[in-house]
Amino acid sequence: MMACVKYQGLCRHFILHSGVLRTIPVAHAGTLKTLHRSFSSEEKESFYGSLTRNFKLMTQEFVTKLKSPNIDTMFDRSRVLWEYKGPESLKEFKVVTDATIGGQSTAKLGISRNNKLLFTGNLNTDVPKDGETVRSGFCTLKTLQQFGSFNRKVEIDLTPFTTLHLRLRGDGRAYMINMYCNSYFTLTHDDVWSYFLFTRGGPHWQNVSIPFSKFFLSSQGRVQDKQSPVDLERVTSIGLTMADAVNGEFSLELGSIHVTYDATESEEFVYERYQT
Amino acid sequence: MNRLVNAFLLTSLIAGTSLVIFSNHWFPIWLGLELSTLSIIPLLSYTSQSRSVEATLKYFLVQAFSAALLLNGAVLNLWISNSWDVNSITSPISYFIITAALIIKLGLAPCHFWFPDVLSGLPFLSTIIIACWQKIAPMFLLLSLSNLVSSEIIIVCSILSVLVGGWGGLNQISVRKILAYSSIGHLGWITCVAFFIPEVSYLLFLFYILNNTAILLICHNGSLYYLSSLSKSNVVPITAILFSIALLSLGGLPPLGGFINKVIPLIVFSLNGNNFIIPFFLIGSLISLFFYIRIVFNTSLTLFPQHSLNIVSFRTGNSSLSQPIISTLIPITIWGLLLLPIFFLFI
Repeated sequence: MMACVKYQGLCRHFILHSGVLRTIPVAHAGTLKTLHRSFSSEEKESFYGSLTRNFKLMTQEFVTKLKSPNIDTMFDRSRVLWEYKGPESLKEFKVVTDATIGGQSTAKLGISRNNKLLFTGNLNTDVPKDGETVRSGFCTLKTLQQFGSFNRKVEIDLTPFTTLHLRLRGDGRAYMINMYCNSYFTLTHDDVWSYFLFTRGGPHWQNVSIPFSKFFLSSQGRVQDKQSPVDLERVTSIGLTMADAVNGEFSLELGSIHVTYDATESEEFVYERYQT
Repeated sequence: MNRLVNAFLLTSLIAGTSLVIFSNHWFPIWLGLELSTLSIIPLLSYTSQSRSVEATLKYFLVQAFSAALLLNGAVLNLWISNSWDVNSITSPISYFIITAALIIKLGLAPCHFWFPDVLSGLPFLSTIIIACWQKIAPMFLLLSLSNLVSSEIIIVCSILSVLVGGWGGLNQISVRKILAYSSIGHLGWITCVAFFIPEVSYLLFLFYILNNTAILLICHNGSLYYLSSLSKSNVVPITAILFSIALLSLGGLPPLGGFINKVIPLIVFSLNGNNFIIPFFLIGSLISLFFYIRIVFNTSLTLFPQHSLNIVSFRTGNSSLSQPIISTLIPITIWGLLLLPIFFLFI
């Protein structure tokens, strides 16, 4: 079913919305499910049970490191970070909207008619009437943070790679791709490296390639004056944000996220780094 | 950074290390160690990036703790032997505390965990100071104390360092972390020889510093941060060749100069009847040779499809200071084996 919706004179075709759309709400705004916590909220793990579980995890991590999994890594050419393989693939994501600050936007995660991940929702830029908030209107799709032993964040090492690739089909709206890294200081906990993702609204799939050198640093929504490249050694999460300040529905189909090494990419960082 | 400030900090750094080397009193030694630590902090964190600041903070915490431990050991020795003299350590407890402090400062196993983490967060020029210059003072102290009390601790730490340096470097894809583990392994070799013939250790340590400095300078020139970026060194062939030779020398392959750092300790061990520790050192050395060869393979034996605009350049770049330094250091790695007869004067 095709629907043509006008946004400020532009016409976007929505071929992804259909009456037989299957929606499986997997994660709700503000919730965080970790892969290692399998108990329900009613069961509380005992102290010794938790200690035993964490020590077992730590032993597994130590043995894995001892086996040196990178021993044959001469040069990694590509690695698939996420690929849609079925409904269970949706559990690796969570959705966060401005409802956490009192906004009106809604978003949900589902499976599209083409059996791919579908990120849909309605962006609403109405500012919550709390006297503090100045701007509103964002919906984020983000990979879940993985935790290791003793609740330590698991970091993904993307240093062998230079480019991030996404296979997606958008609705013509502009999204942002975000990369989140583990930080040592509390001051940099909100650091996010972002880049623009302009989608085509057509029926064809889109392969987006963004070098890591193009990601710019922002913190709490503000682009920082002092820029630095992405800390590829400590990546914890990758996300997509819809926040183009245009009220209305959005829809994005995601097929896969992978990283590659491009030998022709010689730039370390494309933005000016001012010397003080 | 302001050049005057830079010059002041470097001068303080040199002064601190000199104070440690030329003092016979524990208090100026502690003062010199703290002075060199505090001088280097602004040099490490001048880029103000969070990763550099994190590395600087970790370095400061470790060094400050070990310096305080050293002073604690010295004061304990003062209480027991009533002397501030460096060579008057009579109590095993104070010797143990001081040795532990120096092992933490040097980054020898089992107190090595901070070293790769700190090095991986800093630019290459800063890693040269951390990995080479800042080792001089604690190594000098450790070598001075090596003949005072029985040093089973040093031998155990040396063996651990060699094995950890080899095994730890296997899983790394960051060149800085690989060189950090390489440094841990090499220090293991040098400190073990100190227990038998300290004079030989000084020469081995000097040779290691020169070799390491050359490699780090080449990495700095080519921005060779990760294994994947080593293929960029193919753009300047002379750099790739020098880098490969320096690395194989560090790995201890004959006939390159780095073979001295392996053959002399083995001769010393066998002459002193300590053949049981030789297998550990050989195993650690062979494991570490694997990741040196891996770097050499990526540097000189792989050719990625280059962009047509990336033509091979025979000029080595704009760095005016590092080129002459590399040019003088590299011949030492190649012809250093000719210095082998000098070592036999001490054996």
